[in-house]
Parts: sequence; structure tokens; C-alpha cells
Amino acid sequence: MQIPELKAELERLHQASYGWALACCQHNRADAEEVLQTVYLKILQGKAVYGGRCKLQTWLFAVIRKVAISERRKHLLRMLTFTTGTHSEPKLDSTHQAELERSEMQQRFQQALAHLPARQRETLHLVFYQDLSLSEAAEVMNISVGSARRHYERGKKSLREALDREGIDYGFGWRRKENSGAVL
Amino acid sequence: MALAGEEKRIQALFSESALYDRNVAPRFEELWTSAATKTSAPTRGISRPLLVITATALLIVATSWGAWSWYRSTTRPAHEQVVNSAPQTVSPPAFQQVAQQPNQLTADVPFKPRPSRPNKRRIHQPNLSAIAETALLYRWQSPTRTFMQSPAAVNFSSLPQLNKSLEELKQFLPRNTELTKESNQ
Repeated sequence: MQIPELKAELERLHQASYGWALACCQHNRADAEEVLQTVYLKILQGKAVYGGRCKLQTWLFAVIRKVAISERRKHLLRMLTFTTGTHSEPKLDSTHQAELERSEMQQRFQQALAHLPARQRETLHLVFYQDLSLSEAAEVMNISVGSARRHYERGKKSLREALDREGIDYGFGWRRKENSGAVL
Repeated sequence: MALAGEEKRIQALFSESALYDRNVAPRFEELWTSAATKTSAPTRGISRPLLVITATALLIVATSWGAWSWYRSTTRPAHEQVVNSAPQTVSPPAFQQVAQQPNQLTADVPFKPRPSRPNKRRIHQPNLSAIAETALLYRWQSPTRTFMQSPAAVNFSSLPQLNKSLEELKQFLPRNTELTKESNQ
């Protein structure tokens, strides 16, 4: 795929890519922008090449995930070596600012989501936010479909328990104990 | 993917989050242009950690090479050490007197250095001090050698002929006066 054609496709997927980058960076907007820019840079430099073996969105999300993990490792190394300790503060500020702009329910939802294990959080995001199938989510996360399904089921259960703790009653009968007939 | 009631509620929460994220997402052109600018910018040839590692390795190599060369220059082979120590151990007053006769000494004290493997470095760069010390050792003679020479020693230059006269035979006798006196007595 040529660069102009790829650019058009990337532009079409930009909103979804940014949402996925946010999910990979714990909703840190500055980190997500940096990751997305690095991904575009790798594509332009030819370091990330789309082979056409899967959907472009799946490939792009896998690249974003890898870059996010790599950037997180670099950031941890910088923190350990005390070379650049001033970069974290403005990013945290921007994150907190963004969180303040969200609704109260969304804040609680994001907090509940943040307490989930990374794999479960990523699976739920890919399925519910990006509307991907479990096999596509497994391809993005480079795991088997069985593992993805397990993360998906456990993630749903953990999220439900977390939302119960947060006291979010979203719609009818969220809590099973209050709606035991739905379980039966 | 068919979703149940509970999953629809989760999806509703995610959809609300997606709506918010779309509002705060940066523009694609902005990120793409900055990435393209970075691509066209000249990249650094060598990274900083690699430079530090290379400099450290070079420093270690240079230090070890210097120490090795210094060690090689200070330590010499065993036969050179023997050559250096021999003249210093024996230095009586008579040595200087004997050392002034080089022609005689070279024949009396033959020195055969221990054969060693040829050293290319030493051949190309001869050690002048070692050569001088070797020459001094060639000239060295035992200080007690003078005691082995008697003043009464007779140097026979030729054999006397028995058919000659007594007067002619007397010239072969030593000319020392004391010996003559002894013989007369």
C-alpha cells in the first residue's frame, strides 16, 4: 500500500486510533498523542509496514499497542535513571484536567476500568469501544482467541463488581442482587 | 457481535467515553505533519549511550596497552639480568688496573651468552645500555689473576741447542740477578 493511500486510511481511522492510544496510555492525553505521532513516524520511515495479512485497523492497533508499551518502558527507565524527571508533571496535570471535564459517572467508570488488569481492560475496550470481534481483539493483543475470551469474561465480571463498589446503577437492574429474577 | 443486556450497558458507558475522546482528539494533519517533519530531519549518527560505551572501551584498551608496554620495558630476559649484575658484584681495586688492558682480556675471558629465541623487536631496536654492559663484562678479569703471575716466571721464546757454547746457552737463562746469585752460590 502506497503512502498517500495509507494516509487516507489512517485519517479515516484516526479517531479510533486516538481512543485506542488513550486506552494504552491510561488515558494520558499527552502520552497518547506522542504514541500516535511515533506510530505515524514509524509508518513514514518504513519501520512499520502493513503486509495486508489482516485488517488495516487490526494491524494499526497492534502497532499502537507495541509503541505504547515501548514508550512506557522508556519512561520508566528515564524515571529510574533520574535523567528527565520533569516530564511527568505536565502530563499528569493534563490528565487530571481531562478527568475534571468528564461527567461524574464517566469518572467513576474510568476509575473502575483503571483498576482492572491491563489485558482485561484492553479486551473490553477493543470489543465495546472499537466494536471489534474477539478474534480481532486477540490478533491486536497477540494472544489466542481462547485467552481473549477468558480476559473478556473476567473483565466483564471484574468491571461489574467494580461498578457495584462505585455505586453506579446504570439503567435497570445493574445489580443482580436487586434483580434476582433476571438471573433466573 | 451479539450483546446481551449487561453488555449493552457496558457498551453505552464506552460509547459515552468515545464521544468525549473524539472531542479532545488532536487533528490528524497536525500529528502527520509533525511526524513527517521528524522524518525529514537529519538523524543523529551515533546515540549517546553507544558513544559513552565506545569511549569507555577505548579508554580501557589504551590503559591496558600502556600498562603492558611499560611492563615489557621494565622487565628483561634472564640472561640480560645476569649480564647486568655480574660486573657490579665484583669490583676490587685491581679490577680497574686490569680493565685497562683490553687486548689481553678478550682472549682470556670468553663469554658465551645463553642462546635464546630471536626477538624481532630487540633486533630492530637494540638496547645500547645492554651492549655496553656486555662489552664491560668481556673486559672483566678476576682480580686475583695477578697473583697467579710470578716475577720468576721464565718465558721461553726458543729451545737451546746443545751443540752451542756455554756462553751462548747462558742467554736462555733468566737475567734476574737474584737467580744468578743463587746459581753462583
